Amino acid sequence: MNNNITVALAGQPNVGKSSLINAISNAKLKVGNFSGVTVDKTEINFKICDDVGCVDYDVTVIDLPGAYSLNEYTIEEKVTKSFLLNDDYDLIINVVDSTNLQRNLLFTTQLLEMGKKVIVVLNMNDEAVKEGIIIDAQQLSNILGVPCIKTSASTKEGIEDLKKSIVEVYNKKESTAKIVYSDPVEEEINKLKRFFKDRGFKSKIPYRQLAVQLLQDDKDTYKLIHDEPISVELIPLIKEAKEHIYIHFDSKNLKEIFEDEHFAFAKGAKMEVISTKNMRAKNMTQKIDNLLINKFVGIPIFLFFMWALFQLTFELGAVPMDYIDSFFTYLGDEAKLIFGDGGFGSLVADGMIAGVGAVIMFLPNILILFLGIALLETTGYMSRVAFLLDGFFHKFGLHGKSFIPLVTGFGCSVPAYMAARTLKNHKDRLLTLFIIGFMSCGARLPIYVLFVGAFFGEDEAGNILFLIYISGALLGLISAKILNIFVFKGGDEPFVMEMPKYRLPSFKLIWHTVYSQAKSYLKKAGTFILGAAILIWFASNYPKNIDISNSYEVKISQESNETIKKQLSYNLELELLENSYLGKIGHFSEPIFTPLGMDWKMAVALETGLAAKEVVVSTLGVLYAIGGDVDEENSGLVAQIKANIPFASAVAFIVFVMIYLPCLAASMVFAKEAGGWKYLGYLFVFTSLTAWTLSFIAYHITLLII
Amino acid sequence: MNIKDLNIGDRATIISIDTDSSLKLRLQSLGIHRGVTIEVREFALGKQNVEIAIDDNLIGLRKYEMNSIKVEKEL
Repeated sequence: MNNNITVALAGQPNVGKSSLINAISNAKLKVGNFSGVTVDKTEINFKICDDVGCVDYDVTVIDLPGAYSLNEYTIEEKVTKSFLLNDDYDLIINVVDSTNLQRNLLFTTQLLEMGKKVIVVLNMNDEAVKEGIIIDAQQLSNILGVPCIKTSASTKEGIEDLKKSIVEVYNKKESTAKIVYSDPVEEEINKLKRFFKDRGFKSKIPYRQLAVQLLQDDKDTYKLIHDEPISVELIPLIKEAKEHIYIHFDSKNLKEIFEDEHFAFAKGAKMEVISTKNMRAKNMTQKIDNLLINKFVGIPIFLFFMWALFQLTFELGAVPMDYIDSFFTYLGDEAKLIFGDGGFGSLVADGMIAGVGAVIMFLPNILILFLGIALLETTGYMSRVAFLLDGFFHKFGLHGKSFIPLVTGFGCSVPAYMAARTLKNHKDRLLTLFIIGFMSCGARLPIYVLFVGAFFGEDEAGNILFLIYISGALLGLISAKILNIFVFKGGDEPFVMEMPKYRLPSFKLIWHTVYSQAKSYLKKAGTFILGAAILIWFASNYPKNIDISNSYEVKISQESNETIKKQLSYNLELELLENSYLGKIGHFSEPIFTPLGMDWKMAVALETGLAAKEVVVSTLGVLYAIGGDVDEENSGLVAQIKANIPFASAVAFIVFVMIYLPCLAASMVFAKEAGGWKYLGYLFVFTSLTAWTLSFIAYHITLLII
Repeated sequence: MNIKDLNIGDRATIISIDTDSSLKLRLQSLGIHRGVTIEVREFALGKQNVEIAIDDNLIGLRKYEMNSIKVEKEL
């Protein structure tokens, strides 16, 4: 006997589907990655005992993304509809929010129309009872023709009944769902049914459903009957039936007519099964909303939350970061001890271990930030944030929710790109992803500090830094507007968004979100970044120039003066870098940077910055011959840069750093979040062109002024 | 009149939704339907966005959507 049951779990957003799965299964959540779908589907397995005897059932629950309808308006709705239509499963469990019956039933009617076996789960019944809503589940079951079960994920009410019902419905031959339409529509359905019966038409699906689908202009059903002999008579009959309906509804849009029908049915069903005890006072959510989306205090309260989140992310996150950094430095040193200082040892220590370290270093930030974002989302506050800020961001073609990824970008672009997932619309998300890089990340700060320190007085430095950050953000917003007009054309996506009820977050759910996001970051970003880190290590160390090394070795060993010795080894480093592939690329690309007043050294520094912005400072250190082991506070480097780089070139350099591609890690994450390598190509072209142009302008304006 | 002409706290009945079919279906799947009573809960600055309540559902809309929903104020 086959006891494997596949259940598709469908429902509107915020009905507690995930918590319901958690309540049914005590097993660990297993996340399945479905190809081509950006929305997660979850599969779990559990066993059911029915009361006759204990029979083991393996039930696979496929958690479909929350959808308000099957109208294919959002990605979630598309994924859900396509799964329900095309994939193999035994029955649908439709999870319904008991406190919000009418709107949820609208979706239920669409599911019932599909002709599949359905169980309706009236979830969050405990909350409904608290709000004084009593639902007659038996009566609803009579109306819909399918089992209706009251459940509550938090109190485990109805969970056992649901398990039994899954088995019962699974063993039924076909769907028992029924929807009643208005009299004019029912009349036409009956006419068609009679016709099928008179002709003795053999159909796999019941006559009634066939009739409904034909009246709804369902393409697949049309194909089905098209080759049948009766189609000659049937098609005029359908046309006539539709004409009757058009006249009655004074509309020719069948989709809208049937939406009206569903609405009427859902409303009618709700009226018959629900009874509300006494008028309840304004609910909690509306009271909280009076404060949180208030015109005057809403935004300050939000800014406070953001401030707290960023303090936590970057202050608290910095603590383990230092440990991770020193741990990997230690590992690198150990590796060099084991494998020697030669090519292989360097590959392991400077290439692989340093590369992996750079990936893991961001993990604390990502964990804390995503914990915060998961809290914002599950409590329902995120929608309010979008509401508050949408007016401003919409002027630039962005969405209210763009704010969080953009602000995160000031910390680090990697989590910022990931945070853009909260934007559900593809165009909004792409636009936001494209301008995140304009928000100067923390790793660019050392470069700014170095150059501002070298060229501006100490009392001015703070203002200049502020100017850099602000103008970066403004440039980002302007770019968004330009991209919105010229690249991401097409009408504005509407902003129609539910403000879900405020809820206390479930620990298990938050843990699951944060855990799976961390895992996917480590897995995907880790492999690519590791590969690229090795490539850059190779480019800066090869080809080996034995001659240069040898001649310097000899000179160094002959020299007795310590200072000159040091100077010689710096020169060695410089010459090796100049003759590596990276140095050759720098020389090769010099003509591109000459109009910006930069020489090959600055070009190489910018190019290594593609790997990580921190590298820019150490590359400059090597190139300006004071050794690679420097930081931005090294006074020697500051002096060298002041002496060797003209002021206008320095300004051009800063402008370029502000705009061009963020680090390698961020680029990899960007490609993944945007949904393809081609987008990374676009981003590279877009940022490089903008950086070059503005840098060119800045260079020449500065030349004119001084 | 449309939603934009209402004030915070006003209740109104939706008379019609004049917009393209896909947006109309979207609005309807969120319960914004002809004949339904709405209450304006809050406007964002400059009436750029609105939060309306239908039964107990709170829904946020932009100016554009507000303008496409014709309503009649309840007294």
